[in-house]
Amino acid sequence: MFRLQLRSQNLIFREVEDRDLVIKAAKGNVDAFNLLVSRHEKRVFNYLLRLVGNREDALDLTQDVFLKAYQNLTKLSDVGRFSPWLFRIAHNEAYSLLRRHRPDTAELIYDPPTASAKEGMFPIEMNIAVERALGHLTADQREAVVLKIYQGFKFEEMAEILNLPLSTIKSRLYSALDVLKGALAPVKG
Amino acid sequence: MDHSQIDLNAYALGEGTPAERAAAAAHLAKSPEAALDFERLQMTLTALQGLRDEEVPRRIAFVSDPVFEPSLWQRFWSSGPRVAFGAAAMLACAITAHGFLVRPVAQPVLTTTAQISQADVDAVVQKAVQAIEVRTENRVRQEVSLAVNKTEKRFTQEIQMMAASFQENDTLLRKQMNRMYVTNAGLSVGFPKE
Repeated sequence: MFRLQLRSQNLIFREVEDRDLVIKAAKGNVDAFNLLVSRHEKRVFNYLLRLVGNREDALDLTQDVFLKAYQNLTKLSDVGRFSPWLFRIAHNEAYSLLRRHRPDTAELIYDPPTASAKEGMFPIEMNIAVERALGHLTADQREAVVLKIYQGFKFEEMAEILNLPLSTIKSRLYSALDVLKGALAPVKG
Repeated sequence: MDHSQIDLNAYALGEGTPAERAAAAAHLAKSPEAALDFERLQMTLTALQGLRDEEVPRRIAFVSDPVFEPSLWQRFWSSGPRVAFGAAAMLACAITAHGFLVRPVAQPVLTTTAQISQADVDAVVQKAVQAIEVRTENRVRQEVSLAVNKTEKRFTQEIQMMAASFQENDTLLRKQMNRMYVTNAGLSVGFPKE
């Protein structure tokens, strides 16, 4: 919980600085936008990676997200909301990819990334278990978990990104947590 | 607060108002069942957070890359002053065009003019030409006089400098000749060394 709060605090500080960069970038300051790219590329890439489960797709989508962000920066009415706005673009891009690849279904088939990047403080078995557990979620649930747990967004920001009511966001997230609790129970000891 | 309204998930995720969070904490302190469930939830969250973010495999193209270059039109529209300038220029063109297109046709104006003889015209022209000639002559005279004075002054200065130079050379020559005489005569006193 502490880590989650720390992540949220970092986001608050970052947003204050992002605001200045967005204002400058909207006036044509290329360096300011480059800095925004540097700051957010890892988060956007990982969000997309956890949504689409494919590095190449995630990378291409990340590129498209920043291109669209740059082209539409002047349309961003509240410069303090750059991060949710950026993730809204990322969300739309991910679902556009889904529609292109699988026009008959609205579900992203999650293919957990292979175990090449498992060097963490946790045992590799735990990471595999977590990835499998995420695979049990629906695309909507998984996206809610990614936005909350991995990207540290507030409920209101998630509602803005997904363009859904707060109650739906909570419902998706809580049902996802129930599934994850069950899926991860055997490895807790 | 009713226990059914307590949102332990929100509490675990760091959400909720301070009052809601206090109520959740109090509920956990009272209810061992809720505390056990909350512990499982926290373990799940901890496990989820253990999954690390991956590094971006290659850099995202920056705005400075050609693919991000905005078109001339986008650059124009993205700048308020440019748009304002364009609007002002268009307005100016419209006003100018309007002035040319709907300019009233000049109607021949019938006026009665006084009869002026050619002699009067010649006299006036002659007078004006004379006045101009006098003015021009005076100005030329002044400028020539000024230039002559300046030249004379410069010439005098040059003459003076040349005279001084000759005098100096003459003195030097004399000294050298005297030194030569003394040397030839075998004398060792007389002139200071240069």
